[in-house]
Formats: sequence, C-alpha cells, structure tokens
Amino acid sequence: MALEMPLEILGALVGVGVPVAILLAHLTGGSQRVALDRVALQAHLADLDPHAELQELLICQSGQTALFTLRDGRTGVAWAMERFMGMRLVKRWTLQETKEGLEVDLSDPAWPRRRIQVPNLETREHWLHARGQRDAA
Amino acid sequence: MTPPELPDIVALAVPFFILSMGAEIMLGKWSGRARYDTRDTAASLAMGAGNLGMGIVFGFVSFGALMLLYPYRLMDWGWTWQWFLLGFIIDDARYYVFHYLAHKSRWFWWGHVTHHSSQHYNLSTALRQEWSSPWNLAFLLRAPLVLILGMHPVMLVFLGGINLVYQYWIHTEVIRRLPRPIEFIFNTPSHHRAHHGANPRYLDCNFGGTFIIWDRILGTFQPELDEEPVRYGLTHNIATYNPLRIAFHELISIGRDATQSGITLGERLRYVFGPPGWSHDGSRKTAETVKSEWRAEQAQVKEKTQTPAK
Repeated sequence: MALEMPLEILGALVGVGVPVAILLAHLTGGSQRVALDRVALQAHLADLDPHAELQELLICQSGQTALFTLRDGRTGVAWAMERFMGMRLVKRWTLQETKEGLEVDLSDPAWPRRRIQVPNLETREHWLHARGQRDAA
Repeated sequence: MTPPELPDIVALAVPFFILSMGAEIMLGKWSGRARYDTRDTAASLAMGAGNLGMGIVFGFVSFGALMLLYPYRLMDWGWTWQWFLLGFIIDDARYYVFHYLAHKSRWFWWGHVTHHSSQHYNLSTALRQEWSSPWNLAFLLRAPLVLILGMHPVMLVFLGGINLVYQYWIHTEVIRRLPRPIEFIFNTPSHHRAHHGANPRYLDCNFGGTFIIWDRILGTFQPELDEEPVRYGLTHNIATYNPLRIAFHELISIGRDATQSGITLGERLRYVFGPPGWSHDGSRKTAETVKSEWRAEQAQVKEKTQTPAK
C-alpha cells in the first residue's frame, strides 16, 4: 500500500502550521515597516529608472505612502511594504480629495487605492492643482 | 497493466515544508541570512494553501483529461525504476518548456506571476503558488508524454510532485553555492535566485526545474554574480497582500487590455498570448526590451571607459 496523507491530517497540519509560521515571522521582527523618506525613495527609484531624479515629495503622516514628482515631470507613488516598498511611475491615475487628505487610484488591480493623510489644506490643494495642470498639458 | 499506487509526494512533504520554514525563520533571525516579513509570509502561505486546495478540488480536471488520452497512446511506458528515472528527466524537460512559456506568454504568466510577486526570497516564497491550474490548460503540455511515449497520468502526477518538492528547498538565501558538479547539473538555490531577479541581467533566465542543463543547452542560463546582488520580485512590483488580488490581478489586467476599444483582433490576441509587457502602442516594455536596452547601455558604458580621453 502506498504511503498516504489523510485529508484531515493534512488539513490540521496546514491549519496549525501556517499560523505558527506567521507568528514566528512576527516574533522575529517581521512586522517592522520601513519609513519612506527621500533617500530611500531615490535609491529605490534608481532600480526603476537610473536617470530619474526626485523633485517634489509628499509623504503621508504615517510615513507609509508617498506621492512624488520627478524632474522630467512624471509622477510616482510609493507604498511601504514592511521592509521593502512598492513603487510605480504612473500614467493613468486619479487623485481625489478625501476628508483627511488625498486618495490615489491607479486603476490597477495589484495596487489598491491608497489614502494619503494630508492635514494641511494648502498642500492638498497644491497637489490637486498640479495634477490638474498636468492633465491639461 | 494497472498502475501501482503511488504516494502524493506534495501532501507528504507538507510537514517538511512547515518544519523547514520554521527553522529558516529562526536561522534568519540568528544569522541574518534569511528575511521573513509577517504579511508577506502570510500572503505566500495563503497562496500555497489555496494552490493545495485547488489541486484537491480541481485536480481531477487535468488528470481526467490526460486519462482520456491515455488509451490512444502509441507505445507503453514501463513501471520499473529505470522508467521512472527516464520519465523524470523527460518530464523535467517538459517543465522547462512550461516554465519558459510561463514567462514568455501572458496566458501562462497570469498564474505564474503569483510565484514571482514577492520581493522576498525564502522558503515561503516557494509556496506562493498560482491558482490558475487547471484553467490555463498548461496540463496539455503533458499530452505528448501520454500520447507519444505512453506515460501514465498517475506516473506524471507522481513525477511532477517530486519536481515540485525538489524546487521547494532551492528557494533560500541560506545556502550560497554547492559543489561545482552539482551547480553544473542541477538547479540550485544560486541558479534559482537569479531566476527570481528583477535586475535586467537576470530577467527570463534559468527556467529548469530540477536540472539546469536544459538552460545550459538552450542558452537561457545566467549564473548569479556576486558583484550584482539579486533584486527579487517583478519589474513592476505589486503593492498588495490580498491573496485574491495576487492570484488574479494579471488576469484582470489581461481582460482590460484585450477588451479596450480601438485595437485590432490581432492586438487583442497578443494581449492575451503575447509576452508580458507587450502593448499595441509601445507604452510598456517586455523583458526582452528591458534586457536589450540594458545591454545597449552597458555597451555604451564599456565603450566610454575603453576610449582614451583626448
């Protein structure tokens, strides 16, 4: 008779093993998140485009999401993913005002909408205006 | 002849997966040679559990289809260990073809992108598996093995399981290099790290499953270079830990691209079956384009450094 793994034991192993592995990752410092700053963003940007240079930068209060423009006029979004970050130079996107700040929607199923807390109304206005101007151009 | 009962290798390996992952997490903490992030690990394991579930629920589709073909085989394949060994080597070549297509055609990439979507490289990444089987019809690549060689689907499932379990342990940064003869013949952690690289140099290389010789023969081999550390992930990384988004984001993008207005039927088909990154207006880049631009840039740099200043 062939060796078998009964379904109930397999289910139990997965049901216990997965949470234990996740807990271990957490207990060994796996939940720390990188804080976005100009240096980290510029370094990551070099991977996407070695010639790209950061110009304006708006970092969310939590330090987890950032909106930026490059010297050549392109716009990008970055999101802290624990020890790494996700970054996109965007083409089709929308920027909307919310109660607490701005909301970026890239219309990309791999990039859920991101809220950026921006208490300063002037800053909000500035980015919305800049976005509008780029659209017009 | 009735096929012998063969064990489900992947299910039997689950305890080994869990224990080794736990060991790697602890070793990583102690030595700094492995990095696990909580949410990334959770996402990878959710994808692995989902893949296992998909196999249990829908595995009969691919298996049943191959069983339907089996009576029309041209020859009979044996059941002794020599036939298993030969079958394993041939099935590994089949895996190379599948893996090559998984990177070169978006139809297969929409599932395989899951496996490359982590920016980490550890044992949990090995379990970040697609949910696209059997719906991407990749099992049809096994049809010639059934029809022409007469390999029984039971044997193919068994051999595929061994191949999958083999590929598990190579997803680690803990092991740097193995002795040369092993690195020459087999897919190793070093070769597979290069495969997971998003650096232009490492894009679309090292497709082998158990054996790396297919890449050496077919010109897709790229060694991992100490001077260029591998940057894991995708050229355009995803920003989500949601398993549903990880599993289906590329399929949704294909749907959007192929149904947009103002493009020809040929262009729609290329969005579905063409290489990832292809676009009708040239607004995106395929891996091939990224690589050739990078090569051109490297050549320019080399030329500049070699030309004496006047």
